[in-house]
Amino acid sequence: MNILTRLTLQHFRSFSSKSLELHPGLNFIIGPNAQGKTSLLEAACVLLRLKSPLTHTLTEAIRFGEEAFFLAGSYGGKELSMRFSPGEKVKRLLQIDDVTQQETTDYLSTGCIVWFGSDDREIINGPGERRRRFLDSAGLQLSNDYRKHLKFYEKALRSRNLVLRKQRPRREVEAYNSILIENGDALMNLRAHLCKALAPQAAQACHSISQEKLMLHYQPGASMTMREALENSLAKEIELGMTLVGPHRDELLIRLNDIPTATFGSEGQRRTVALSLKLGLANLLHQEKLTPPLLLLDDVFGELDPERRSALLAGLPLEAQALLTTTDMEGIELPQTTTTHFFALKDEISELSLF
Amino acid sequence: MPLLDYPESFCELTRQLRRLPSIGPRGAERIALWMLRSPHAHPKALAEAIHNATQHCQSCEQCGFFSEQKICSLCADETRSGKEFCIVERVTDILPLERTGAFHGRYHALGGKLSPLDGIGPEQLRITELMDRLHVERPSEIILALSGDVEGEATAHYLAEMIAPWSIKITRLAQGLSAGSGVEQADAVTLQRALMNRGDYSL
Repeated sequence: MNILTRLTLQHFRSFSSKSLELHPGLNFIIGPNAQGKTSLLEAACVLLRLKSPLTHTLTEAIRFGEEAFFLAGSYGGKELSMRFSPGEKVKRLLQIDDVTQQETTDYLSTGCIVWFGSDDREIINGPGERRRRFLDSAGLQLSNDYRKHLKFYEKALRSRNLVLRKQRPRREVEAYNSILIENGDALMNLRAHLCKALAPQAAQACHSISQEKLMLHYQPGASMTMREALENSLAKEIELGMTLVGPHRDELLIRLNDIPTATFGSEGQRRTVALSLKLGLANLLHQEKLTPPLLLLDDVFGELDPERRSALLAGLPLEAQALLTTTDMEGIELPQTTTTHFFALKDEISELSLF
Repeated sequence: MPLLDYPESFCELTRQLRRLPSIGPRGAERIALWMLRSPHAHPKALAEAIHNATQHCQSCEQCGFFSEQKICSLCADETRSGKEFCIVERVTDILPLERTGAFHGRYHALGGKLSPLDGIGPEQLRITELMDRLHVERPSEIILALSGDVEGEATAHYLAEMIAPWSIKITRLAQGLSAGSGVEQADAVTLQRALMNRGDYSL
């Protein structure tokens, strides 16, 4: 089982330098607002996945006045380190056990995470982009092919849309078709399989939180093969100046008790469903990777009523390690089944100390 | 301000050296010191070489490779077959292909690849020149030696469609296992391409 036992940050967000020893089970980081609790979770996420759930550009995470940040950690017996310096020739230096990694494949296959954020209910009632990003967060952690297809597809899509918008000749638009066909079909296929595997896990999580019936259904952004879909929509695409079919139009349809959650669900139901999706993902990753993912729960308790808090803590995969931030422990009932540790983050300079 | 620094002429030399690619401040200083002190530096010969090269090297009107004449030695070579054209992205791609000794036709460098996100469209590439050459030289096969990324793929498709009316055979460099590596090391996409591009091996 993989555990993050140490996390070191340098010049990351507001931290100049910080290192903390973590434990199996639940690790609560407690402290008032604006102390950098979220940054610690973000650092763990960036270290393992090279991506932040909070920002697209990692440059933002570099401490003010510095030119690079450095993260390191001990995860599952491996020493991972990542140095991000956008101004230098090697922008991102990755190492596993002091061996520099030329490719991200091995590095990214080391750890997986599930991020629980306070804005998770946007997955339910936000734009489709949020649901596709949720599917991507699962797909990217489960297969290397997913990453390749997504990268190719997105680049080709952006190029094609620009060519369409600039009303360039048809030939320049169609130069991207075969890339969209090859990677688009593959991506929709992978997402369909993913949703099929995720649906029962999420349904089970939902049932144990609120005894309600959750159903997920994947609706691909092309109702036929990409080749046919692109052929059929070309005239309209030239008229509107954008690509109209493909996995960038995918939808994840969510129904609770046979009612679409986005339109009819109550606020509390949306939170339940969002939680079920994340717990479902955690269980799916556990099942596929044979080791539970690292769970990062950023300030989610304030959003939940006491029953859902308990259900959430009880629903976490049993052996999973979790980092949780909260302003206080009031109203949080700890499960008896896992070990719990507490850290206090008082202000930027003070060390984190065990209660 | 420090009390002591190198003289102005020396500083100007390091400033000029620093403009060169992959030379930092320490490297520039080291090269400048060597220039001044080593008996083997021959700074005048170096200066003349730089001047000469930049004055006399131009692009071959046909393939785009470096040449001191209007047409490079390869394009002027009558013994080279004009039946096959190998299309590359950059002029620097020509030499590695030439060194294989496996190609005896002619080259054409595009000067880049289609990349609308970076403002590079067909007009920025040597595509019109290619079409003109097809008219004059009438090759029977076009080999696309373009990279396998999104831009390379898009450029290949664009060219294939441009050339289609000429009914010339169009081929693309095979993608697959790299020399000396096994199936075990290859990722799924590479293996898939290797299978698709497999060659006849029957005796």
